[in-house]
Amino acid sequence: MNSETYKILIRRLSQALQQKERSMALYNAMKRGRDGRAATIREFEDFNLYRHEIRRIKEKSIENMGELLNRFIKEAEKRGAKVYVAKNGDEAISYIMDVVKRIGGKIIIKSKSLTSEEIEFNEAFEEAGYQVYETDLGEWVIQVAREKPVHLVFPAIHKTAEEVAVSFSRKYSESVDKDISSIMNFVRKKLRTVFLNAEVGVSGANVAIAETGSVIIETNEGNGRLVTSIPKVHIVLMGMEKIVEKIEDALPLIRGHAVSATGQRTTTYVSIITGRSPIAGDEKRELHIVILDNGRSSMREDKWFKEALYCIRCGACMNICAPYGAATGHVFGYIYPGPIGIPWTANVHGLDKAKFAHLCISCGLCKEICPADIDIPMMIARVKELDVNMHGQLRVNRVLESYESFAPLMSNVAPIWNWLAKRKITRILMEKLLGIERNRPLPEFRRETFIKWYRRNYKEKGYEKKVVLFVDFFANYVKPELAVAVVDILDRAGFDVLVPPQKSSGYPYISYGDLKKAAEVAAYNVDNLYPYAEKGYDIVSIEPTATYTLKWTYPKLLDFDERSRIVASKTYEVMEYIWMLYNRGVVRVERELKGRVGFHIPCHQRSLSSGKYSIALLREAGLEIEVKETGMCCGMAGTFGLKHGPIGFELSIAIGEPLFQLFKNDKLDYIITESSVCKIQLEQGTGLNVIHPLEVLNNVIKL
Amino acid sequence: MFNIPALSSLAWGLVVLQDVEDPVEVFKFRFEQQAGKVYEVSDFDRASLVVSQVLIGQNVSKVVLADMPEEYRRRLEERMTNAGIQVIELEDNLGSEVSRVINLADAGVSVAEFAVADVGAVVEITQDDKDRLVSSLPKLHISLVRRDKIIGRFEDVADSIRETIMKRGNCVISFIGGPSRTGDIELKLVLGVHGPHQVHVIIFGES
Repeated sequence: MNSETYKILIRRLSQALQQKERSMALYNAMKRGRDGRAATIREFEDFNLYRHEIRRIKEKSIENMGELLNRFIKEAEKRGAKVYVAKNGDEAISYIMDVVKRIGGKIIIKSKSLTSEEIEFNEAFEEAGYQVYETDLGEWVIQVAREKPVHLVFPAIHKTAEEVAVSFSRKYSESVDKDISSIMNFVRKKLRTVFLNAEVGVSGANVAIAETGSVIIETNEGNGRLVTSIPKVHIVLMGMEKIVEKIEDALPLIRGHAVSATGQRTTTYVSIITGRSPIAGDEKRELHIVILDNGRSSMREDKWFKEALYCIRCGACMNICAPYGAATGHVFGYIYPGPIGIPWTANVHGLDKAKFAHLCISCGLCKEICPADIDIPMMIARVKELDVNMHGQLRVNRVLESYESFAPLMSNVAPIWNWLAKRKITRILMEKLLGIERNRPLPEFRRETFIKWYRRNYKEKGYEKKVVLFVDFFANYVKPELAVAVVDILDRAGFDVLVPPQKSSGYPYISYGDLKKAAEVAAYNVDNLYPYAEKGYDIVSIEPTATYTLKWTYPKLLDFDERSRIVASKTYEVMEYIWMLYNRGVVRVERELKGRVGFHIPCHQRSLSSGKYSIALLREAGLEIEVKETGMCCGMAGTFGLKHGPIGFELSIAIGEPLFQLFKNDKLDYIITESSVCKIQLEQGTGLNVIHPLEVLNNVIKL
Repeated sequence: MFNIPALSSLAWGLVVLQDVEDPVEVFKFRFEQQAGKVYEVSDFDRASLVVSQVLIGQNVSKVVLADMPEEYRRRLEERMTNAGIQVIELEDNLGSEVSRVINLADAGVSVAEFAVADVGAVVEITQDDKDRLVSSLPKLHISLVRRDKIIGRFEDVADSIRETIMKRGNCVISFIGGPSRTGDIELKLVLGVHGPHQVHVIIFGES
């Protein structure tokens, strides 16, 4: 890794972690966005179907991008608009500058446009001596403060009302009171004059429609309506990926955008603008539509980054990104912040600006919340890979991603290693030499791994029904009794349990940007599992991350070849499988357990069952289950929380803190989670015991 | 992509407003939830009365009317005269100067083409931008909409949008879902940033 820029990133992160107030403001904004969305999607019978519809529309539109572009240009020109396709920001700016010059414009008013941020529009025009006004309140605050947006939807959310008032007072030498209504009155009055005098209005476009040559602008403040109606010239600056074919394609994007961003059904104002209308009889008005490529054509050709073009800029991914919240969008972003900002930055601003990719902890929740179901985590992994290819890998990442290769040795010398691992001096050495945080408890290895136990003790009984067990690291090396319990239950239920050769999921390779190695592991595991899946045997997986990898990641890594898809379709979470047995009456659950227990849903389980089978079985067994969630990652994120330093342990704990509080504020006997790594984080953060559901259920599941 | 099922547009997982649900009720609920105000009256004459009552209640002295059918305009102007409210005259060919004139109004009144219940929005179709300013510059906006023009679902408006564009050519179709709003500072909801602080919708026509 390029050590200088990486060091700068670490330094900026450390500073951000100190600014608790700032990150709290952002944290609240994110929560507001998530909660709003969650409340509104309840109005849908199945929001996932709606997401898939949005995705289908975007897939289709990007597939036909060239054709739609031509059609859009033809239709828009037919209605009098001038359309210009700009290869890059410079071309776009110089075209617009010519237009402004020609009409003798001096004042440019803008409604929010991220695309104009992308090409640093304001800087260029201010430098050329024009008066440029952002009219979206948040954007204006940022402009006056000369900063970049911290969030897509709430660009200035890190600023208090007082800071805003001070910054306006200074800029305009007028006293502005710090209460919000005074600020609003100031804003309305000040900008109203500007609106009435501007010759040029610049807007973005949320969607453009090829069949009619229309552009659609969504705003809440009403500034978009004024920007596009009063000035003589209206200039639309939009990315090439915004064009859809038909009106029917545009409507779900409009709704999906608002629902995902804030939980509104649509934004307060949605304007569908077709051609330029006259104003009070004056027909001599212009509409220019500048369509920006700036890397989009090549993104479309890239197998990894094509999906970034499906983004509808709702900002939901940043509302759920824990490290973004802790680091704030100024650190976790360049001009485009947040998770989707990583592939966008890498492609339109260059790989060196996308260094913040290494703050991504690979929890995968950005994909789960994305209205277009964009595989953002995989694109981020690709950005990391490109960076690692160019600048080399960190030692600690190399160690952690290949942790499994050390495991047999550790296991063989388990008593000695476990003793050593508890010595302070060992941990100091490990921290200095390997970069593994000394204050993070490490799991103890067992000499008798599950695989050893299985080879020695298990014999197939020749049952007709057979199940394949995918064990993963923890249930093999650290807690073999977990896998033994699964074998025991399945055996009693009349299944032969097969354990073909297998490697751990390999997910850390994705976390640290080694997609080649990840694909090798994927191929190995699919090769070994496929013969069974093909025969129709189910695959039962213990670790949520491994299940996630088998179901979603391997097919992608293997270009969706049929074998990987069949393996994916036969894969089940272990608790889901047991629940199915319970549901069919094969096993029963005795109501013998007592206690009030916290439950934690690991991120990778969110695209699976979200723990509902565990919860149902545990409640059946008599436990009072309290699900605690912030809605975001617990911060451990696989091996991320093991790493020493700000990009590792410190960020991990900062992220975990709000969740620890939720567990600590309730009187709970212990915590249950299926993830072996969330366990480490929650035990350390809450001081409570954290166990796998089977550790209590094993004794009460009876035939 | 294999994990994305192909779907007919009828099965988007959207809770469709069932026929049993009255779109007018849904509209009212949504629009008021979005901080707007809704009245229901039997005919335009009553609607014009409500307009003058609202304007009097808000101490409006100058009002501006958007382009609308002549009979509606005449009725509203009579009401305004009776209420002692000045209707700002928009002379032809004012050009962009019109924005300064409309900016003097305390309130704007317009007739919406239709409304969409499930997103709680009235829809105005304009072919001259001055009419957009009537509903965006003054602090108070009143929009009148015919009862039988309230459509249930947002996704169902595609055909009427297409028809409008085909028929009228250059135009702006504006969905208005309540007063202008922002949460940009400290997430505190503030109504009326650049647009109206209050939006009243009067639904007229027999039920």
